[in-house]
Amino acid sequence: MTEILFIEPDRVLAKTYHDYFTEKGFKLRFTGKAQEAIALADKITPDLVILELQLKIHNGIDFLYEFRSYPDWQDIPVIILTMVPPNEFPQDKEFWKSLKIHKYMYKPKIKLNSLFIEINELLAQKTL
Amino acid sequence: MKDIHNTVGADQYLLKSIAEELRLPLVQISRLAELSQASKYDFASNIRSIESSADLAIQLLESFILGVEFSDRQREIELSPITIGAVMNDVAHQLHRLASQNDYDIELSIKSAHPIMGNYEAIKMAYLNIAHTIITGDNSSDGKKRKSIVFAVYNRGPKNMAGVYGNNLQISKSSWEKSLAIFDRSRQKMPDFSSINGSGFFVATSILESMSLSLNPSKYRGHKGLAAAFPLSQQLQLI
Amino acid sequence: MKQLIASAIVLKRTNYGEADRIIQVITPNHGKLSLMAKGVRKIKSKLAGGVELFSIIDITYLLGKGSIERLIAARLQTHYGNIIKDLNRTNAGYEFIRIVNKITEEEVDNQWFDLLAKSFESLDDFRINLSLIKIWFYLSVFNLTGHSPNLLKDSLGAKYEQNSLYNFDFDSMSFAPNERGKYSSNHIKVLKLANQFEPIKMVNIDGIDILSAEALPLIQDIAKITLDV
Repeated sequence: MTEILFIEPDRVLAKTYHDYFTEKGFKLRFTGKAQEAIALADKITPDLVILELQLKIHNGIDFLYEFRSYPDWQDIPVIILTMVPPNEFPQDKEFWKSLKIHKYMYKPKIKLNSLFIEINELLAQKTL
Repeated sequence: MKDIHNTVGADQYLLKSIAEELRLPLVQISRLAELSQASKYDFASNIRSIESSADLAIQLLESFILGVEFSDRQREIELSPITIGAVMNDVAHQLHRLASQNDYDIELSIKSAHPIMGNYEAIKMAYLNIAHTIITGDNSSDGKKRKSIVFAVYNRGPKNMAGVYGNNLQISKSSWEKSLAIFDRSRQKMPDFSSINGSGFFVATSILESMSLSLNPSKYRGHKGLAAAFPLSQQLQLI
Repeated sequence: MKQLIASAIVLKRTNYGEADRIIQVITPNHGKLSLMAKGVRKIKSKLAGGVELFSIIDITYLLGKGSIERLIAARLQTHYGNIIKDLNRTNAGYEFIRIVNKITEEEVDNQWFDLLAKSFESLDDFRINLSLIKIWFYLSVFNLTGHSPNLLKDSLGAKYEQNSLYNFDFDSMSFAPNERGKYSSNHIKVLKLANQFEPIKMVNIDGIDILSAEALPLIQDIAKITLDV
């Protein structure tokens, strides 16, 4: 079963994503904190990380640099699903490349179904 | 304490910040509605959550509009004798369900019933915003300790202190001053405490400032929070 | 074995094996060091702790025979905690670290350490516009690497003139007069000031935020071409 590490600080959204994706056959692990996310990743080694950038204490970019400093986790895809709007999200290619960001998605505009499609496409690419 | 209206463009930035904060309840509603259509799983609970999110969005909008109207003097701030304890009681009851849903216990500690001259609606909006920001700013649960929020009213010398305090709120004089300094420059004004942008604190500040009051970090029974000091009216005390 | 103490700024942290980390630091007097921090990962992996990024730390290490020294202790000296409160500043901080790490060899003098420390200090101060900090950083790097653009005279050897417009000429690494130029003498003034003064000293200059934002893409292009970063 595909295991997704979902870093989402809002409990209402976390529960919504959890209910939707659990019914779709995924196993989701949630946390709202960057530090806990590292500990969780250490425990479960997820197949995919979905990351909100606006977190408490450490922001998502800080988490991502830490996450990518682990050699074991270089190939785990990361989707950024965030309230930070596109015009505030760093656009330079070097940034994307160095952090191996698979996709940036602007949360207000991404329906559950769209996220589901994106995840399936990504996982399909991984198995090819 | 910095007056947030003294910063160039501050009002516009506050409005933008508020609009951004409104996104969250609207995104919640949209996703919940989508989930309800996609699955019959826990339908009733989803509908309740949608209602809560919608109520939250409405309350945010109302308080923001009030904050702007008062700060721009579009509306006269009518003062009348009120007791802050009654205001806090009202706020606590209004937020009871939201607090419960987010694993917060609410406590009321009203130790003063002295009347003051104030605007009931405005003061209620200010404290609604403070409490709401505390509750939604950290609504994750780590399962380790129960979160609590205290609405407290007590006398301190010639003033009536009214504050909202939390047992997991890390707010100090320096962190508050830093947040005020960057409120028009930073997406997350209080990231040590909250993952949301914390506009509610600044709306409350704006409303209280229009009544010549200031919101400051404060401590109460070991909890940290934000409080304002209301001058006691000597004439009202004689009545 | 000799035990040494130094101030350091962390450039990179990489996990090694089950429980260890290799930490790359830059110091004012000992150049760049690679340090093995043993057993660090046995405790929960730290985003906070003695080897924080965006900090100046005091390290104690054993001078070994190989290329990797052994870290004995690390204590936080100064932590620029505001940087991570803003996504763009966080990213800028990482960008600066990456550039310094890429450009510098092992034997580096204290100027690179000072540059990073001053950059963090500026990023930590939200009064200072981010574009201005970035311009200042890149110009400092150009100075240290000998790739500075000519901010005193234009491509024809004349002084820059008020009310004239310019485009940047990469061949001569100076601004060339052009009636339909993208940059005014004010942009060039901002660059000259950023070349001389630290960002905090320029905070109150009228229009500095807008001019910095307009000039920054050019400076970044110069960096890409001259430094390959």
